Amino acid sequence: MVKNYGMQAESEFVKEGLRQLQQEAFASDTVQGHDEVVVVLSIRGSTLHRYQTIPQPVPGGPSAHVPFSDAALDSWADELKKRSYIPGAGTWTMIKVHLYRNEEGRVEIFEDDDSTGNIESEPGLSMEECLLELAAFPRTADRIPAWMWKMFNEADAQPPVYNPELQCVEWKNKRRTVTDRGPDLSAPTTVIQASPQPGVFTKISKKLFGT
Amino acid sequence: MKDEAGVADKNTVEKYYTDVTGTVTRVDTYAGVKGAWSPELNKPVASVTYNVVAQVDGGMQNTFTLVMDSKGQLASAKGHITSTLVGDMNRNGYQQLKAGRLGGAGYDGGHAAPSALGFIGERGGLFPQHAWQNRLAGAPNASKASNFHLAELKVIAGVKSRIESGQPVDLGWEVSMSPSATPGLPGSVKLEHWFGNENHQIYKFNNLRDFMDEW
Repeated sequence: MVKNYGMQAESEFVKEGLRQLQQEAFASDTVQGHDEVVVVLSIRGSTLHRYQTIPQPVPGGPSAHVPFSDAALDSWADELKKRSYIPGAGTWTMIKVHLYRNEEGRVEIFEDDDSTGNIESEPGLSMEECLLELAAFPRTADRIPAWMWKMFNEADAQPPVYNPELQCVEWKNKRRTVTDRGPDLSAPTTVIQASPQPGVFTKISKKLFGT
Repeated sequence: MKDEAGVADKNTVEKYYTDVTGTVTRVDTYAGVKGAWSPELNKPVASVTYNVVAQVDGGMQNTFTLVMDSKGQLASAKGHITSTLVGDMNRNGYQQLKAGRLGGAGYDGGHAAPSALGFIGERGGLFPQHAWQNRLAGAPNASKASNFHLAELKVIAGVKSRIESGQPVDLGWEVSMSPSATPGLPGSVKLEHWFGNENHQIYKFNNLRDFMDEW
């Protein structure tokens, strides 16, 4: 499943980034004779993993690896993930960057459809990665996919959940304000009181279990 | 290597290079072992690059380039690895303790490349590494799919399988540190590795306590 999250609003940032990547890719000796470079990036919580899928090296031949700079690729992708975040809706965990020698490049974004993984050889998210991802980019309960809820229930884990009324994320009986780039880590958490304002979990629990 | 009188053999790799002011900018040397540690690598100098030759199994040599930052801390380590090193002659617990102190509680002196692949045990190759990233100890700061130690083990397994099947190893390894707000403590560690001309795998691992710890 491909979603856009907040990408359209960041089209200039995306275009500028792709232009920079195009320059770096096709200035590299390693892609002589190739007109396309594709890189997969997975950013889950605070961890990044990337690898090139096109061009592939030929056995016994020269390396086809493009040495992108950190600023052009990793830092740009990290910033793009934050800019794409929509409070309550989340952001992407995986993108494919398509670069072409004579055309504008494009970014294809993916949301993990389930815990088994859906792209190249990238494994699906583990339960812990889901918690980290939701803590860093909180979603409302209904925007957390069913397969994630299944993993949390099996592990008896409560995930962070975005509360749209208070514009905060609630987790471990605490609240933290959420900005359009994720939780505000400079601000302290506040403890959720049992009353007068019920936490979002009380409402979910009532809806699911009638208690 | 040096003889008993301290005179370097003309075939030695040990050399110092200086800039026009006479300041040392590069040192070529051998990695030490227990009982014979390299004094240069145990007391690395700021803004100096160390090219290191490490003797490993099968009479082979692995080579590493360590770049020290302006404070004498490890900024990056690159390696070309051709074989493993069985045993712990290249591990230095004392230097690891010293390196870990920079990070405080919950931090170890981590190696920028695996000891099992002949990386140095001296201070120059160590950095304060989150203990869970170093050896899965203590509270996690990421998920297991995002763990430096587990990534190392996968690569070491790849090296061993190539040796067992008679293939050349030809492993490239690059680690670089990104700063954090705490001087001397990397906020993240980037690892890039590849075999021969195969696709490079690039990871960035969190080296700080996860913000979830203080949630």
